[in-house]
Amino acid sequence: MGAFLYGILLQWKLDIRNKGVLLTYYVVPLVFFGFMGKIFTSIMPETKSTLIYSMTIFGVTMGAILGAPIPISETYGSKVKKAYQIGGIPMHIPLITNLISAFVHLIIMSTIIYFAAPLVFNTSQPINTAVHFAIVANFIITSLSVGAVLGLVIKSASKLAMAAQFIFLPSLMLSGIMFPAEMLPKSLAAAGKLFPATWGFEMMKTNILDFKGLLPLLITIALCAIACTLIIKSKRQIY
Amino acid sequence: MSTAIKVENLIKSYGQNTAIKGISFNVNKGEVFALLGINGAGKTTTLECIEGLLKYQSGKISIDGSFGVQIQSSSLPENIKAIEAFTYFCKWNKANIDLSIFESLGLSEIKNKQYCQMSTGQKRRLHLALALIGSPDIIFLDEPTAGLDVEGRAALHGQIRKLKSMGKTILLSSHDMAEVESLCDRIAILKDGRIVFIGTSRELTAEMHSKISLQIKTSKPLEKTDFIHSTFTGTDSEYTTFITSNIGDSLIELLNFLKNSSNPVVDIRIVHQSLEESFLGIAKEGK
Repeated sequence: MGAFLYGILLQWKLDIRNKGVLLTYYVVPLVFFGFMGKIFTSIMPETKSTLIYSMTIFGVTMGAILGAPIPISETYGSKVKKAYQIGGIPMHIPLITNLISAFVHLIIMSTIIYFAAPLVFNTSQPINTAVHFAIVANFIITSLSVGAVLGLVIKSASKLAMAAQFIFLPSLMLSGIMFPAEMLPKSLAAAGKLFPATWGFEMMKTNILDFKGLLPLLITIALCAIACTLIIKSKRQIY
Repeated sequence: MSTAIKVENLIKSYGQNTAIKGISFNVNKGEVFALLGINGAGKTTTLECIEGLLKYQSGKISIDGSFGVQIQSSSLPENIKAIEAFTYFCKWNKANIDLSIFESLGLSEIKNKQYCQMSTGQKRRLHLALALIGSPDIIFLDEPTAGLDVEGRAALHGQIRKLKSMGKTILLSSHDMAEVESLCDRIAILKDGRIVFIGTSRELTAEMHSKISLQIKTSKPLEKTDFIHSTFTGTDSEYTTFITSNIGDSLIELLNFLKNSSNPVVDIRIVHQSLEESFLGIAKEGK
């Protein structure tokens, strides 16, 4: 097995051993899904049609914004970076392996919600499963790219948790997954469009994967990719 | 003897602060060479410039051969197991996963232990194992025994001697005089980013033992007086201390002076400086 593939597998194992990461990738999203799914479908039966999407948005946002930056920050904000550097491991590799591992975890979590929701809460499923998962994949990549920037920029765990909440909470409140975005004041609805969760939720609801819907996500990915490249370059130059 | 590492007029600054002020030295192939100095002397900065981890303002560094690095300020992910880290680093370096390195460093028993569960000594040995991947010609060790207990230090010293016997060139930094004296062929003492001594441990020992402390107690207190063969360094409530490298002439000169000044001698002590004291003298005062 090549070094890169071994690195992905290793990162996957490290994520499983990291309780903080495991909580945000699986435990909290799935417990929240079970708890809120029961409440939503009991008091607002119409949410059965969007429960898979809203819970996927919640879980992915939590994993990518609150969870994924932790191992990235632990690597790049500490002496681990130096160990990798002297060990001949290119500086961008830990970031890529972290993101691929996180992507797989979040896809698994999304799949669990996809299959469990109809069984447990009798929800409807997306018209086209392949399109749904293509949208989920795009949304995960976008959210992880934002999480990557957070993890690279912020070294302190407490500051990271605080900064992540500034993205996570508005994503929940303004994207329409907790209550319809149409009910929000215009200014807040407009602010909601700054967060990938809003666009991801819209695309999942329509079950249409088109360029117009993808554009905000692609722009976010591109901007974050540029930011990550510059940050890693600057971190390499310190030494 | 051919040169493995050549450092010429190395200068490294952090903003306005010049940490390394134009140092030059060579390390011969197969030699154990130490950079010795107190904290902040510039040992780690020098090593990291040579290793390519730090950019430097001017100077020239040449390295003849492959090298492995064990630095003091490095870490690994908390949950990674020893064997996983070793395998990962081997794969990136396209090296065989040679578990004999693990065995020789006593890591076999802890190969499935996570990094966060390892003792300081075990972590040091793991980082040394990572530095030895691919059997490099040159090994850099930054304060390899710092924070280790007596047993851990002895084990690591044994490893360094074993590497030397295999013909490896080792450049290490330390602030432990005894460690350096027992392990190294040559030593450079750094002070404030400059080399204040360079030579073999025997030369260093000879230089250190050449300084003798002459402590004299007289009936009347002795005032500060400089002599041809000895230098006044201070006085306490009882004894006045002089430093000399010529004990015979110093004693004659001092006793004659006291006889002429009618100040009888009550006691005389002749004290050789310990290696540690002499090193501190060189490292702190450049003497």
